[in-house]
Amino acid sequence: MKKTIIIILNVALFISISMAIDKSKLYEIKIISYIVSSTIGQNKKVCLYNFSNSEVDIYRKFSNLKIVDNCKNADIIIVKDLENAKTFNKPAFAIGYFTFLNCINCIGGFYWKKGRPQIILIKERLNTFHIKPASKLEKFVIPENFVNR
Amino acid sequence: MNIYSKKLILYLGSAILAISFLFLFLVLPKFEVKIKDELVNNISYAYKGFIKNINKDFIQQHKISSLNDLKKIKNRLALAHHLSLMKNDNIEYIFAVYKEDNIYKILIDVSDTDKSNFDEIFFPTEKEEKALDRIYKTKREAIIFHEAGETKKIGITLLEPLIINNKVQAVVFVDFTVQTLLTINKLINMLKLFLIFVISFISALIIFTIYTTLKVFYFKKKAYMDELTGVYNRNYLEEVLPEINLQKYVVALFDIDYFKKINDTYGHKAGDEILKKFAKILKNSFREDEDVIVRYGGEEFLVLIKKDRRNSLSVLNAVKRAVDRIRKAMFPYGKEVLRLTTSVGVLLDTEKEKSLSEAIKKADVALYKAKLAGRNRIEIYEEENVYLSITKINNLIEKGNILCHYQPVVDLNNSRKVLYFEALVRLKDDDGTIIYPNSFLELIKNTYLYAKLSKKVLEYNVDILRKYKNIKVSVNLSPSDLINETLIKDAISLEEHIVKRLKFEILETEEIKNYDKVLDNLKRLKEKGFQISIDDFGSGYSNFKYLLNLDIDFIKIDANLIKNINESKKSQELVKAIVLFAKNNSISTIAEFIENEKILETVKKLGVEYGQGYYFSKPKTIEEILEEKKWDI
Repeated sequence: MKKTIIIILNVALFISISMAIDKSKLYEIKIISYIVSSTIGQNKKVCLYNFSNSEVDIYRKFSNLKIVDNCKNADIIIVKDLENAKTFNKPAFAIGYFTFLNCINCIGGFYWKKGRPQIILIKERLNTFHIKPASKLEKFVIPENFVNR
Repeated sequence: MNIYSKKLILYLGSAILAISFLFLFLVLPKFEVKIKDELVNNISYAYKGFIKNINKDFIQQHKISSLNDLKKIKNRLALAHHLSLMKNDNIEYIFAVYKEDNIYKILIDVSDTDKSNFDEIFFPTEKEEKALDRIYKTKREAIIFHEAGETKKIGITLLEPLIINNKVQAVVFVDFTVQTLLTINKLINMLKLFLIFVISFISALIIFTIYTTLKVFYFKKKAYMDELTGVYNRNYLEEVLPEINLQKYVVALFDIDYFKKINDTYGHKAGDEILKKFAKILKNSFREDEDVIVRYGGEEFLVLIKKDRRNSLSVLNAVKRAVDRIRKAMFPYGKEVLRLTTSVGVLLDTEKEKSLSEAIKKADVALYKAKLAGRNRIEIYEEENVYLSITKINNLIEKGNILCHYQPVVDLNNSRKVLYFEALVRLKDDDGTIIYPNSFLELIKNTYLYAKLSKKVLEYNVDILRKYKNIKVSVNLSPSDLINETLIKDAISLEEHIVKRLKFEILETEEIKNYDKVLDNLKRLKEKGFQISIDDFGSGYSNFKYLLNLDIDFIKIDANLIKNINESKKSQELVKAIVLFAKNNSISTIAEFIENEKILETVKKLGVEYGQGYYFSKPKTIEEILEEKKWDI
């Protein structure tokens, strides 16, 4: 009985959260989790840096990533709104165009441009971390000098 | 309506609704796409024209011959100027991209927000990417509808190629706001709703029409069904059956033997039960979908049997089978188990019949024969008496082609002295031929025509009595005439001098169903002063009732007793007894069928007072009789 109530409450919570989050946010999380898991591999530890607690909760619920709290133990860091994340000395993935530009450890980034989701993966940075993305993502891999600063 | 009709309506209604919704499900998405395309085409029409002008005038005017020319700053600025002219509230972004190393880059961006720089990498959405591939191949524009969530702020994108030297060098993106898409969707939803409403309304209308039709059909059917037996009733016979092709059917008339006795003995409830079971046996004996069973009268059932059986013998076998089933069937009622027989009259040759009523009449004649022959048998109608058609008899009566021949009833002690003349009805054909009653009376018996004829005969004889003041006349009345109130009233209203010279001879030709009424009316006639004679006395038993209940004036001894009187001792004994009985009761006796002197002498010896027959005179017109001048009237 107790279990049933918990399941019902969880389902209700899940439905209400889904309704509260706008569709493009869910689409974004879906894309990011796909990119991250397709570049560094499944079941790797992912740390969300500079995300609010509620955002972390959303990632935990709607992404297929293994979210960890401590970035030191993480295999990759998803960085948001940060100008410099090089101190982590491990691969990162940027959310936002300027974060991507300023984070030299970022192997790629996700941002919205003209209402469209944009994905960039930098060839040289992927090489630095010996990362080979999935074939589906190859079209987003561009050389560093293509990036317009 | 019964449960089956309701179920039928339910099934039909569900089927129609299912078809309607299937139609909506299959057609509506196609309709939606078509309307959407049409609406977007209308909205983007001006922009398409604008970009076509860029392709036509701008490229030529600025002598642009390659992508590199297009990338030059002055040309990009000129292009930006042109594209800016398209901006309005419906547009979110306007920009152009070109393709380099399979990567799309911004050529120019004139958007007010989220502006991109020249050469900035641009990743189109998956749908746009496919459309761009197509544009580079076909040089034709494309329209993309964005799914909610996959993009932000934009709803529709128009992709128009910039063509230089017949080659696509760049593509202009015109992004319409989400609001535009929402407006279009709202419009489409309204149309969809309207369509759903119209289809639902039409479906409801169809269901209602079917319901009403079935209801009408059901009530119409009910109006044509006999509630007790579940076979058709006379309404059906009168309204529907005249339309059938009579030639395809054999007409059979079934009558339950001695049904009246069953009703009288066991009551009407028993009678109803028997009728129900009888009808059920008939239904089981004939083909439900081809043969027609009608409850024709109280205990009479008309069956129209389709002739597609191999020959008339097989039709008769079907009738015989029904008769046998009835004979073998047990009709339980309470503790009693009744057994029945049926008499059937069949008309096989329906090809010659002009109407169903004539065919039924002939089957009725055959049925009558079956009853006369002792019941529990099938009789087939044969044209032995060259019967007239009912229609022809009706026409002759209507036209007044009626006359009477008269045969004198004479005093046997003075054969010139006439007691009265018996009026014998004849019809006169249009060519003057005299038609004798054996050709028509049997046919019209128990029909309204018989009553009509009786009325006309009475009127004819009243006219004769008015014309010839010294003669006396007798008119024959059947029991059905004696329950005909109009006829009785007409007789009672006659003047006294007519009443004194008019007599009625009561025939015993039919089974009398309402004795009390007959006796009551005879009493009324007697009270008025008419003399009453019992015709064919000795042929049946029913006229004994008249003797017991009325003061009869004459007994007319049946011809069957008279014609063989010299050969039959028993006939003589019987006549003697009748005469003795009559004298004791002050009733005069009349012998019919006196054909020769020998018969005359015998009946005289037996004490009969009056006589009638060919020995004295054949029936003649009154004028012919009076011209003979041999009668003492």
